[in-house]
Amino acid sequence: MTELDDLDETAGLRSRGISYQAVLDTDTHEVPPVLRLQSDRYLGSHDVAVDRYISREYHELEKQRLWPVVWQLACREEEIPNPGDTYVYDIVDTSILVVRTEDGTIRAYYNVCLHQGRTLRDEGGNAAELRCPYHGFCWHLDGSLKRVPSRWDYPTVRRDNFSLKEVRAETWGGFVFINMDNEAQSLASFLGDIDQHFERYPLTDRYIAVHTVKYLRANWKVAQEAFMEGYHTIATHPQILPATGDETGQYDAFENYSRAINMTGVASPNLRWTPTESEMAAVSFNSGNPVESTADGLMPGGTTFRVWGAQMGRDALRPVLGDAADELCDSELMDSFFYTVFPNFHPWGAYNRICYRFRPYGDNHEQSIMETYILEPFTGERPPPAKPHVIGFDQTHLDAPELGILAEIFYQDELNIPNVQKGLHTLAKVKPSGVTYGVYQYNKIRHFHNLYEEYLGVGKDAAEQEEGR
Amino acid sequence: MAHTIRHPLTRNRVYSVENDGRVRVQADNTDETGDRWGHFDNSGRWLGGELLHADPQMCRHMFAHWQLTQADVKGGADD
Ligand code: FES
Ligand SMILES: [Fe+2]
Repeated sequence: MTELDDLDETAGLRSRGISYQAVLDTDTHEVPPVLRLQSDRYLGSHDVAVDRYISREYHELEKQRLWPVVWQLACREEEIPNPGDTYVYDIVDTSILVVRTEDGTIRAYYNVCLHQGRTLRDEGGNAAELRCPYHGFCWHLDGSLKRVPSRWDYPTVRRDNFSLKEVRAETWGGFVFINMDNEAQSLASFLGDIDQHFERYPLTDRYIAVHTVKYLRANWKVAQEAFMEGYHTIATHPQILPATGDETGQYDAFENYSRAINMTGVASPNLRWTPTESEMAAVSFNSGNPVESTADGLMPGGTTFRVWGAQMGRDALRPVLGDAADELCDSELMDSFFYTVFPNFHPWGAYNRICYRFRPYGDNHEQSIMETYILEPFTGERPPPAKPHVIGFDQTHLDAPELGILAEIFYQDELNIPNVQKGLHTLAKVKPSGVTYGVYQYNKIRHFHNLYEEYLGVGKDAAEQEEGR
Repeated sequence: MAHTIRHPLTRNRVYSVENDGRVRVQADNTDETGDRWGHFDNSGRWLGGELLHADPQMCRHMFAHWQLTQADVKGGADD
């Protein structure tokens, strides 16, 4: 018998490696309570049928039951700072226009001219009024009707029945969210107690230093799931294993959001050797995992990479944060905190700076858009946000060197993503139960699917899903 | 320092990159098969040499790092 022959299915199984909570016990600084929080609910061990990734029916269900009723990120407030600034947010077959009005409030409308149906604006930018380029029907920034050419020819059109159709817009952390459902709970209530996770590193006080928009040949859920677990590190990012606790990460599911914490400066329990502290530093600085002991001397003796690296992190942040940098604990400076707000928004915590959004590419269920924002803190005047850099289907993230080390990491992830989409079509033929997710390390992904099933009104297995339709 | 990595899981394989971006994998001279190496592309496809297999994602990493470093060098030269 080997370990492959028998494993009791028990909730609460964990890696044999050191736990995140045990590592926190060694932190040189006071650890904020939110890092002590654990919410590792058992979310099941069932397989997930693949139709939701490959079938048009599921895409159509999402169009009916998910996108029209869920809060979703449209843009950053900083992208529309002045009255008249607009932003076009497209989700599947619906276009939304986000507008900064005269009085500074943010409003959102369906981006369509009520005359003959042309999209009102093709892209963002400043506008004194919202005038359709086709025949010139025109609205004020507040959505009320302003002007109709050949007014005499439109007896049915009146100011009180021809306002732009409004969509709800609310803000959190410097992000503008929209919701097409007038009955939906407020954004704040949807996000629940998420603020506790970001109050020490406010996302409002950031600017978009980098923004990439990558087109991928995979369903949007396939794409985002490649960034929701650390389990894939062993095969996809093997180079970082000496300095990454891969399977020792902590996963927590909350109400409408979830969190994963992956450690840096803790070696993978999957190694059959023990890296030195200097070797871990070398891996993290991407200067190689030296063959012989050329890494020696990279770090002073008598300390650990975690403690030393964290202090370097504080030093780097001090010019921007001042003394507040000294209050950050080692974990906040060294580890990865990746959150998912249902369904497709992924802000990272601490000063990790990363934020993702995934959505379908147009009305296509086998193509998607992955956006990466790098949100930097700043001092003094707010720097202007970076313009989005589009990376086409046949390009790779290596075409976006502004992403730095992330470009290299994403280059590895994007070798998998389209091949998962391809493979799922074959899996559908040979394994009806679908994909087999881990019980613990897929906590975030299982949490997503449980909510997804609730929104779509479908069951867990393929047969139940059939009934749900 | 040239970017050279000993595979963290398969410790007897050392990855490096040639000047043209091909990934070179060297097997340690520790077993009876002697000194062996192979060349691979950015997705781990075999290009030449006695060694026939490599970890595709490690090749991916080596190539990516090489390409981005090249870009840096070129960018610097233009300044
Ligand atoms: S090992 Fe995860 S998809 Fe194959
Ligand atoms: Fe990854």
